[in-house]
Amino acid sequence: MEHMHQITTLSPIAYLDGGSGSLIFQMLIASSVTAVYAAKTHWANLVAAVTKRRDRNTNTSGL
Amino acid sequence: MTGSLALPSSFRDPAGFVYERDGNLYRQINLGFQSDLEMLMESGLQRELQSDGLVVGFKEADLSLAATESAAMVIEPERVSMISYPHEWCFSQLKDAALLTLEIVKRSISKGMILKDASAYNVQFIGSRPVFIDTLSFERYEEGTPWIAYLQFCRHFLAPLAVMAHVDIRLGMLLQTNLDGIPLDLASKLLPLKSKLSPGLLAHIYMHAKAQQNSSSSTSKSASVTKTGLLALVDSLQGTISGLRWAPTGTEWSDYYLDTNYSKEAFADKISTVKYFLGMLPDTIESCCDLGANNGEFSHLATEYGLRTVALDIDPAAVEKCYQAARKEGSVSLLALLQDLRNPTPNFGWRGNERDSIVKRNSADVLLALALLHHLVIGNNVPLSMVAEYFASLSEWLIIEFVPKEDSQLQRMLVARKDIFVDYDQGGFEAAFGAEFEIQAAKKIEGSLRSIYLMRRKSS
Repeated sequence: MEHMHQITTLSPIAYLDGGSGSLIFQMLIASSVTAVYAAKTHWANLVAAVTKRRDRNTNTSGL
Repeated sequence: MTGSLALPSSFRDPAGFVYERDGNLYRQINLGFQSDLEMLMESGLQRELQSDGLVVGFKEADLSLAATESAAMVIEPERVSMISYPHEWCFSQLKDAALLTLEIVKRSISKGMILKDASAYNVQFIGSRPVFIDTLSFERYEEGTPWIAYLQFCRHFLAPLAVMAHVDIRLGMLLQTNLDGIPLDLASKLLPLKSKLSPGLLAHIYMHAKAQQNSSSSTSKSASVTKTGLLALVDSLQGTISGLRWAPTGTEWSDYYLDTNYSKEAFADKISTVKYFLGMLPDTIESCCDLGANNGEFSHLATEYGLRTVALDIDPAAVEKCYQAARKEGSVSLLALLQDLRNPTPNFGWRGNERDSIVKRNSADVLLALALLHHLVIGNNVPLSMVAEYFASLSEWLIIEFVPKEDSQLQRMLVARKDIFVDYDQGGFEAAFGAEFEIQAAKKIEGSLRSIYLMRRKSS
C-alpha cells in the first residue's frame, strides 16, 4: 500500500456534541466550584507541608 | 480495506478506528490526527497511565498493516479477552469505571491533554480491573476550553449511578436502550426529591438538565473554563460519584448460599465434585463461563484451575458481591457480569450490529451450570431439549447440576403451580442432554438428592 504523506495537523475537533446549554452550564458550575477546590487544594498542601516538617523533626536517627 | 475487518463499533471518531487483520487487533490513526498520539507518548502520559494500570498498552505497528490509505500510524493495542457493556456491569463496576475516567482526565490535564469523549464503552474490565481502552480519546488541551465530554460523562456515568443508588438498582438496564447514556431530563424525573440535597446531583443532573433545555448555540461558542475551573469540575464530579453508594442486600439471590437446602457436608461435597470435574478437563481448556454464577463461589474455583472465567448472573446484588470479592483479591481472571439468560444481550446499536451479542463476545471452553437448570425448565418453561441445545451451542464442555423434583427447593417452586413437567426427571434429563453431549462422568452429591455431571459435546 502506498501512502500519500501529505500530513496536515488538524486542530482538535469536537466530533462529540457537547451540548450548547451544557457548555454554558459547565462554565458557570466550574467557576462556582473553583473556590471550594482552591481552598481544598490549599488545605491539602498545607497538611502535606506540616506532615513533612513533623516527619523531619521526629527523625532522630541522625540520617 | 483489503484483508482487514473494521470493528462495527469503531466508526464515530474521524481520528481513526479499530480493526482486525489476520486475527490481530490494530488501531489506525488517520492522517492529520497523529499529533495527539505523539503527544500522548512524548509527554509521558501514556507511560504513567499504563504503568499504573489505568490504560491498555500498545505498540507501534508497521504502516503497511494499515487498513486504508488515510493512515498516518498503526498501533497494536493490548487485547481485552472479554468485551463487556455498561448495562452488564454492577453498580461498583460502573462506579469504578467512572472514577477511572475522571482520574485519567485529571492526570491528562496536568500533562496538557484531555479526553475528548467520556463514553462508558471506553472502559473495559480485565477481570476485576477497569482499564481505559480508547487511545484516540486523548487530545491536546487548550487552556480556556471547556471539557467537551462533560455532558457525555454525566449521561454515561453519573445519571445511571444516581438512579441506581437512589431509585432502583435495576435502572442500570436503561443503558442498554440508551446507547449514549441516560438523558439528564429523564434522570431528573426519576430521582426522588431528597436527591436534590446532594449538591453534586443538584448541579450536575438537575441544573444541568435545565441548562440543556435553555441552550443557545451563539453563547456556547464563547464558553470558557479556566484550567483550575476544569480541575474543580472534575473534583466535584469525583466527590459526587464517590458519595453514591448501593448495598447489595434484599434481593432474591444475593444470600442464596445462606438460604439453601444444602447441609454443610453436602455443600463441601458439591465443591469437591466440581473441583474433581474441573481437574478432569484437558489442559487445552483456557476459559470458563459460569451461568447463574450467583456470588461467584464456583467461578472462583474455576480460576484456581487457571481458567479465565466470566461469571454471569441475573441478580445485581449477586454480581456486586462477586465483583467486590474479585476486586478485593485483585483478580484479573474473574469477570462478573449481569446477564439474564432468558433474554441475553443481543446485537444492538447502529444497524443492529454496532455492539455484539453476549454469545458472540463470550466464547468459553467449559460451561458451569450449577443449580440453574430447574430455574430455566420449571421456573421459565424452557423445555429440557432446548436448554441442552443452547448449552451445546455455547461450549464443548459442560459441568451441570441436576436437581430432582423431590428436592425441597424445587418443591417450593411447584407449590403454586401445576406440575406440567412430565419429562423432568433424571432419565428425561439424561436423554435430553445425551442428544447433544456425551456424559463423561456423574456423581450424586452426598447428603442431597442432587447430581453433578461432566459432559462433552458430541462431535458433529
